Amino acid sequence: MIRHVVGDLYQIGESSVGEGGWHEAVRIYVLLNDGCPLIFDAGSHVHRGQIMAELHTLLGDTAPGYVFLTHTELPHTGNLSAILTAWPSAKLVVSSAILPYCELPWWVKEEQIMYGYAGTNAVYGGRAISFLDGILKDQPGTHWMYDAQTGTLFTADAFGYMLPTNSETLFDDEHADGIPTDWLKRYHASAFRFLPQCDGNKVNADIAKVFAKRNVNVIAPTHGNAIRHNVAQGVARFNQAIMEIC
Amino acid sequence: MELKIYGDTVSRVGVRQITPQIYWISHCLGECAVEVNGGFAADFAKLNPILDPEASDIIYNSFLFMDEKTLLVDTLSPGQHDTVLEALSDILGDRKLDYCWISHTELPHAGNIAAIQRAHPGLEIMTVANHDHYEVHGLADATLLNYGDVIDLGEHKIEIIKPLFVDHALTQWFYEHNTGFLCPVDWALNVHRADQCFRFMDEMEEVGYSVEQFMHEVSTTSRVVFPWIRWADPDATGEAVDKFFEQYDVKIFAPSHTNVIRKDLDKYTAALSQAMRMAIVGNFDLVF
Ligand SMILES: [Fe+2]
Ligand SMILES: [Fe+2]
Ligand SMILES: [Fe+2]
Repeated sequence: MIRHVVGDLYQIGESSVGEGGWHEAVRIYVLLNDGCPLIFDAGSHVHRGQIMAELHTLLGDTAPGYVFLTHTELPHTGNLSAILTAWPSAKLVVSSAILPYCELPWWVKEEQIMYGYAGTNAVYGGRAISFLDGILKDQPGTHWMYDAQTGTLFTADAFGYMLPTNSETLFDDEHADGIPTDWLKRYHASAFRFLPQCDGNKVNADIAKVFAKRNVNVIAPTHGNAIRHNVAQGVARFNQAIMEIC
Repeated sequence: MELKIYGDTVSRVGVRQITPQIYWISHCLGECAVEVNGGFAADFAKLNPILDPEASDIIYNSFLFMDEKTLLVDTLSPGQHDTVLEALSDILGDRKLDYCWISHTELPHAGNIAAIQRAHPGLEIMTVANHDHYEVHGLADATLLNYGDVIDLGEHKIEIIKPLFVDHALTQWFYEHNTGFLCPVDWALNVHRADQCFRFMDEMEEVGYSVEQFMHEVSTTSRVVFPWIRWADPDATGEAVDKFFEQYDVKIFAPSHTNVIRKDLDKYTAALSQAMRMAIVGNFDLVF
C-alpha cells in the first residue's frame, strides 16, 4: 500500500503474517526527489507483484536514479532483480563495508554499484544523503542513512515493530498513543537475539549519540511504518523496549 | 598438500579432505584479493597494528559430510554459484545430496541455495526453528531444527547447539559427536596472505602464522563481525567461552571464515577466550 509519509517521502511494501497474527512489515521508502527518485531497500521477492505495481503508480514515467541498500539480506534485496530489470539505468548504492561479489546477487554488474562511506555525504540527483554505521544491526555491513531535507533517518532493521492486523499500515500519529513499547519489544527481541547478552544502558547511550548529532523528524525502519510525528516518543519507547529485553 | 581447485578469482573454490568422510569446500581470492576487496583486511591492520597488513584474503567455508546420508553445510556465496556445484558433483559422484544445513540466511552462506536445490531435486533444507516469516528469507519449505535436535547421518550425529555469538537472528551452530567437529559459523574470522591459501591452521604455522596472531586477528575482526559485543561484559563473555569448550570436546574447529583447526585445539581455544575479552574493551571505530 502506498502511503505518504512527509514532504516527498513515501512508504510502500507489504507485510507477512506470523505467529499470533502479528505482521512483520517489509517496507521500501521512496524520495520522489523532483525527477530523480531515490529508493531505499528493494523489498522482498515474496511481495514482488504488489511492490512493482506500487512503484509504477508512484513513479509514473520517471525512472528511479538510485536504489540504496541498508544491507544485503534477502528481505531487503529479494526484489532487486525486478527493480533493476524495470529500470536498468538505476545505480545501486551500498555500504563500503560489503564485498559485492559475496553479498549481492551474482548478476549485479560492477559498473552499477556505488559505495556509501560512513561519515560522509554524497549528492544523488541533487539530493544530499549522508551515511553512518548501522548502530543496532544484524549484519556487519549494514549502514544507516539520513536525508537532511525531510529529516529522515533510515535505520534498516532497528526501530522495527510488530503490527497487529488492524494497524498494519498506520503511522505513529494514527494510533491513540503512538507505537506501544510492546510492539517494539516483540520485534527487537526476535530480530536481535544477542540483546540479552548486552547492557541496555550502553545500547541506548549509543543510539542517543545518533539522535544528538542530527535533526531527525522521521525514523524509517524497514520492518515497521515510519515514525513521523513524535520521534522523541518513538525513541523513548524503543529505549524502554531495549531495557526490558537486555 | 592435497587440493583440488575450481574456477579462479571470485569464483575460485578449493576442496580438501578433513577426515575420510568430511570435505572442506572453501573460497578465497588469492593473488587478486587486494584488487577485489580493496585491501579489506589491511583495514583491520589499521585498527590493530599487530596485524599483518599484507593479509587481505578472507575465507568462505562450506563443508560436506559423506556418510550413509550426505549433508552440506552452507552454500558459499553468489560469486561461486557455478564452482560450488561443480565441486559438489565431483565429490558426490553418483550419490545424491540429502541435506543442506543453513547456518544463517545471509547471502555469503545461503546465497546458492536455490541453485543447489535445482541441481539436487529432493534435497532437504534445514535451518533454525523458533523464528517466523521464513518466506521472506527464501526458506519457506525448510525443515526447522531446535537446539538439541540431532541429524543422524549414520556414523556422524550432528547436534544443533545454541550459538555463543550471533549476528543474524536465524543463526545456529552445530557439534558432531563422533569427530568432535564444531561449526561456530561466523565466530573466529581470521585473514591470510596470498601465499597462505587453503591451509589447515597447523599448515599456516608452517608459513609464519601463529596462535598470537590468531588471537589478535579474532579480537579485531570480532568487533566487525559482532559489533554488539561492545555492549557485553568482557569477563562474562570470556567465561562463557571457557565454559563452552569445557562442555564440548572440540577436536575439529571449523568456522565459516577461518582456517580449519584440527591440531593443538587447547592452545587455540585459550586464545579465543582471551581474544573475546580483548575485543570488547577495544576500539570499535564507529561513525554515529
Ligand atoms: Fe537484517
Ligand atoms: Fe531485515
Ligand atoms: Fe559469515
